[in-house]
Amino acid sequence: MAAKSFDFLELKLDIMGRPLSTALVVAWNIVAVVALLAGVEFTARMIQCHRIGGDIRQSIELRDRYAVWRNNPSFHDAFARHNREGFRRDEDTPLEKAPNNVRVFVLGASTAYGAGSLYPDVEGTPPQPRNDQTISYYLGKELNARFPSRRWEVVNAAVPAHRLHQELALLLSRVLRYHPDYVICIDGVNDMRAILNAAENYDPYRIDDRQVEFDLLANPASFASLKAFASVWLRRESALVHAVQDWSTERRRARYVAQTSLTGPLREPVTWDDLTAAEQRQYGIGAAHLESYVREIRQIHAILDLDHVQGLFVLQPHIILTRKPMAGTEPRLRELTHRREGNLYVYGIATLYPKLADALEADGAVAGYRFANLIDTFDTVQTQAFTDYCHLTPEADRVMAERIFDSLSDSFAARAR
Amino acid sequence: MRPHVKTALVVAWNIAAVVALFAGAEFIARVIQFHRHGRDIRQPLTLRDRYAVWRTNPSYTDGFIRNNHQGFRRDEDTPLDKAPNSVRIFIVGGSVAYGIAGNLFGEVAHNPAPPRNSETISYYLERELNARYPSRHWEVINAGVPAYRLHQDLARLLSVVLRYRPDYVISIDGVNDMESILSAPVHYDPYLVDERMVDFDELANPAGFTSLRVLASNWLRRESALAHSLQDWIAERRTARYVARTALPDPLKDPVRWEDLTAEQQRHYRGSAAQLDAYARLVRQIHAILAVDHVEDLFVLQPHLATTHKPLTGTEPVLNELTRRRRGNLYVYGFATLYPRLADTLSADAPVTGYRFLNTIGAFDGMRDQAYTDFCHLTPQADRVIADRILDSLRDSFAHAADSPPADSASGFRKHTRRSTSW
Repeated sequence: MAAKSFDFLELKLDIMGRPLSTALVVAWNIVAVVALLAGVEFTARMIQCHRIGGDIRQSIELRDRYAVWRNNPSFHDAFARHNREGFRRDEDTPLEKAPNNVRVFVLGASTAYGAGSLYPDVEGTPPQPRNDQTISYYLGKELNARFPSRRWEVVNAAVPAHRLHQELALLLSRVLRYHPDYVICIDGVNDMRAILNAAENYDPYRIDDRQVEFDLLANPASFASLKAFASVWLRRESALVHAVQDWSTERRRARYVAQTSLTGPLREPVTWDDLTAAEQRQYGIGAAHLESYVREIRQIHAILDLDHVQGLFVLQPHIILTRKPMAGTEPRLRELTHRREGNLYVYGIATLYPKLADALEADGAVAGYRFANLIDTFDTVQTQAFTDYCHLTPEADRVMAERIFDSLSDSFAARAR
Repeated sequence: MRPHVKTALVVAWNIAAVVALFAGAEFIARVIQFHRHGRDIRQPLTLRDRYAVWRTNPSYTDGFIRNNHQGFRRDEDTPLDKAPNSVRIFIVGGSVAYGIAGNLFGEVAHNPAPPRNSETISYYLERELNARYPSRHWEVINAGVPAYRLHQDLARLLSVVLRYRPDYVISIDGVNDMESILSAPVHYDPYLVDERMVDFDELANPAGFTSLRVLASNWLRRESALAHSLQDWIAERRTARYVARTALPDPLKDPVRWEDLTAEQQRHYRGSAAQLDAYARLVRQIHAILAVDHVEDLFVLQPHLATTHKPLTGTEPVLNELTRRRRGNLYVYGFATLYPRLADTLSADAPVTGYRFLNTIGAFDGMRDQAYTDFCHLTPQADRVIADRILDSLRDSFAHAADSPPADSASGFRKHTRRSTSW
């Protein structure tokens, strides 16, 4: 049958003039390629929808006008779902607050958001918390159970990879319009990493890789812009391209994992003498910029104070600093942290992070903000709490929510009355 | 020659001819543009920004304006490190602080030319300070960005200005925010009414064919003088049609009264009047952020043609009439009544909250020369008057700073916390 139709086409081409027949052949080939790609794209979409349970073309975040990036309201997968306002929450958050409602906004990065492990290659690590297993969810449940006279809305406004300066931008540009009564910032790890990699003139707003990508997209000029735009546009429009890009990223990650999985000896604890001269110099620069964290907390506190919003600044726990009995895959996660992040990171977290906690403790008393040091939160927890160096299991999220509740219990009780 | 090869050659020839034609047209367009403007017109005045929506382009220059490498309108660069004897003053705000001519009334003949770098408020203030207090080196840096509103000033302060360790920040604002408030829905939120929002999202988060169209338009404007000229020509045609529509010789009521507003406009006016506190709130936020770094501040409410009592001179009568025709009754009545009310609100709030406020609505009342180039943009002479008013307003503080010994270059926050903390 196929041969017959081909003969028919040949016959038709014979009847036409040569240039026309050439054009037809070209058109036929184009149609065939387009049909092939459409078929593959369709198949890719079916497979992805079946595997992920959502539209993978929706990215978890969108570039933002004030906070560099924010959560994508249209994102959902098997674990996380964002509401229409871009908060990780099943219910929407209307602008108008009901008279009996108390609104608590949780800001922060991936730990506050409830993200999964950064070490997916470690088998047996608990999965990512669902919407009903995040710190915000447990805190809301606890508040509504203990103080039923008011309706407590705990809104998870955290955005993966955010740092304090972005939280301030998000607070100003989005959160304050919802009239929060409380804002709880759960941070530490991302800013500390930035401080440990800081240049002499550390500035959290400094130009980084994302700035380069942003400028290529938003201020298009040159062919590099077209390339960047094509890559992002195709990722958004085509499940096939998305899958190919993900595959390529996974290959790169696998190579990285293979490199860092060497079983050489590790010195523990890392001491000052284990750092190279360059690392010691970099450590000195990082230590000199600890105050920038305190300054940003003061800025957020100053803004909250204007609207009479009660703030709480939480320093999140870290696997390097915990004294908890290691359970499940935690020993492996701790080892991988050391191998993948290096001596400077481990030594920096071990020594500067507690110093930051002390500084915030002292400054909170002077500047008038509430600070909760949760570095030791899991010291008595027997089950697995970490899914990498900072992300948490659902059980650990519940413990964090309890600690936060304790830190603000007097204020919550007063508000409930 | 084989027919297929021949066909391919014909196609290639046609493509080459079209490309050559466009290349020739592009070359001619570049030569003409360079001859007319004396610069590369493809550099836009502003770039999209990830913290403040847009910012000034460091590469921009024209016959009047030159931005430095840091994107401030200034001939000299602004290094991160502040010299020990320097006092740094940053001026933030919209186009009036930046110093551009009103582009809405471009058809008005004999309108004064826009201020040069050496005719802006910042320039005059710097010159005066260095003359009066030569014991210190005064740097007055023009960090204004056209079309900015207060919330963007705040974003620019946080993301750019504070890293240069200012001693003073002076905000010159009012008109852009007031216009937003006057066109605001019931719940005014400055973060929701960015005019360039659509383009921003289409480019930064590309999806769909609209994004491709926006990309093509923006990319071609940046890369091709020919496309740039065509786009400008289309925009000018649109402006000309708009000018023709608004130039009808209808009788205009002067002054506009409450009864002249339609029922819809009256309802809208009431909604806007209820949102005035949004401005004061933003001022308080900026003040609170600056207080963390112990930076002195001054909030200037800029003048507006609709509220001035100066004798109108030069083209000002025409500008005044055009403002009323083009902006309409709600705008004129809103500015005439709500803008002074905003000044009263800020005057009352300043001593309570602890910031300095300067009302320059009446700054030109005794001035005989032309001050306006449209409803809010100013002549160089008017810029000098505003600079004098700012100097008068901060005279005590400037004199104190001039007498104080030079401080180290650390930020105010660092200096302060060094005293109270030990880390």
